[in-house]
Amino acid sequence: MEKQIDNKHIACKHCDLLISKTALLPGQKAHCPRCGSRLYFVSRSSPSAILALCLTALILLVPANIYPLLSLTMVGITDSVSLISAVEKVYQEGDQFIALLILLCVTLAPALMLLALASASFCISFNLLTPILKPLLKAVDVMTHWSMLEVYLVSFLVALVKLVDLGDVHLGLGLVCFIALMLVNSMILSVYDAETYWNKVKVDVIR
Amino acid sequence: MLSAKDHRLTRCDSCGYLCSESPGSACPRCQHTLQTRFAYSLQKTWAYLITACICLLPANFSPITVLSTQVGDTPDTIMSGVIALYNTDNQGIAIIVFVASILVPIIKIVGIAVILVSVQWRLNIRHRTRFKMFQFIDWIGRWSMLDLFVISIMITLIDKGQLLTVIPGPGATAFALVVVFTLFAAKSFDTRLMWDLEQDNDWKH
Repeated sequence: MEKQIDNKHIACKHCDLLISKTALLPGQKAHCPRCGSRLYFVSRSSPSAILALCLTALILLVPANIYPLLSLTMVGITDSVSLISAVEKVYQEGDQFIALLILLCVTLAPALMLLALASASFCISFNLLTPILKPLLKAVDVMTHWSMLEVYLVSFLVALVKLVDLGDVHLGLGLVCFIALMLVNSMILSVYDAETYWNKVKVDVIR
Repeated sequence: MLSAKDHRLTRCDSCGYLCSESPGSACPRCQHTLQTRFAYSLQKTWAYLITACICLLPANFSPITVLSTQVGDTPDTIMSGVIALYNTDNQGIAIIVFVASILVPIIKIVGIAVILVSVQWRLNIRHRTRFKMFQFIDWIGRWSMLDLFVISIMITLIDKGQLLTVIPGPGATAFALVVVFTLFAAKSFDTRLMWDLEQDNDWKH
């Protein structure tokens, strides 16, 4: 049952169904008829728009990590917490594994994902189809999986409720930047289609 | 409905390119080694799951944080933390923490085990239902990181030297391992195996 292969067919990632591609209008999404998962979509945003969003997020990432999210005054002593200082503290307490895991999920993975996607979008918008595009797109895929900004925001709320009764709580500038970062990050994830990006990569073997 | 596999085509795991090359060779687009299905998917998933199961015991029964004051040390397990929150009129938050830290890891381990057993024993469950179940488990998995993030915030803020400090306990590391191993388990399971069963059944009828 060998079938001639061309760019008009794709296989569903989750159920391996062979599907012939149809042209979509911007904003439309194609779903697998067998398992219902999303196959590909045509984004309303061009790679250059995604590049702009990624740069915004990268700029927000710096203050979101280093400025205090929250400070607590208790028994006359004020302590504040930022993303980085929380990781540092856990590391000093001897739980290096947890510290590195948190660092990966809230700082490294989002940062690397945004950097890789920004570079890939830059290459595509300026038609620089260099070999570096492949590792970049692979990195975007892996790092998206480990990026847990939205989970951190809910954790922050849980911690806030626990702390409110203990002393004076003040919200910091870092929190504003962090919420903005999370929103821009979700926007990027909702407009980025890996399939469209991968299609820009040249295939080595000419069929 | 036929899979790409039946047409002797392979979808690249890394870039999604549909290849006619044989499994084991490199994807013409991204050079990733091609495989029709993940190698040893069921075995690997079982291994991660069993490891997570073992770590689940210390994660739940040994202290996740230790609060030290001048009076002495008070260790807190996940459950005692939830109960304390519930008793201080923070029922909503207590439920969030209970779901994320206790229910989610257990649902994840049991859910993946049920799916694995049903695939291995070829049980007759609607494939779409089973797939939706897996997707849900995969999605909730990341939320168990919640408790670790909360601990990191708490220990940084409650650090008043001799007066009052919170330090992470051994349960925290075990809990982190549970989260990581269940994430790996979900990642190493190949959902396409479920649909392969459906096709086997179609041919039988």
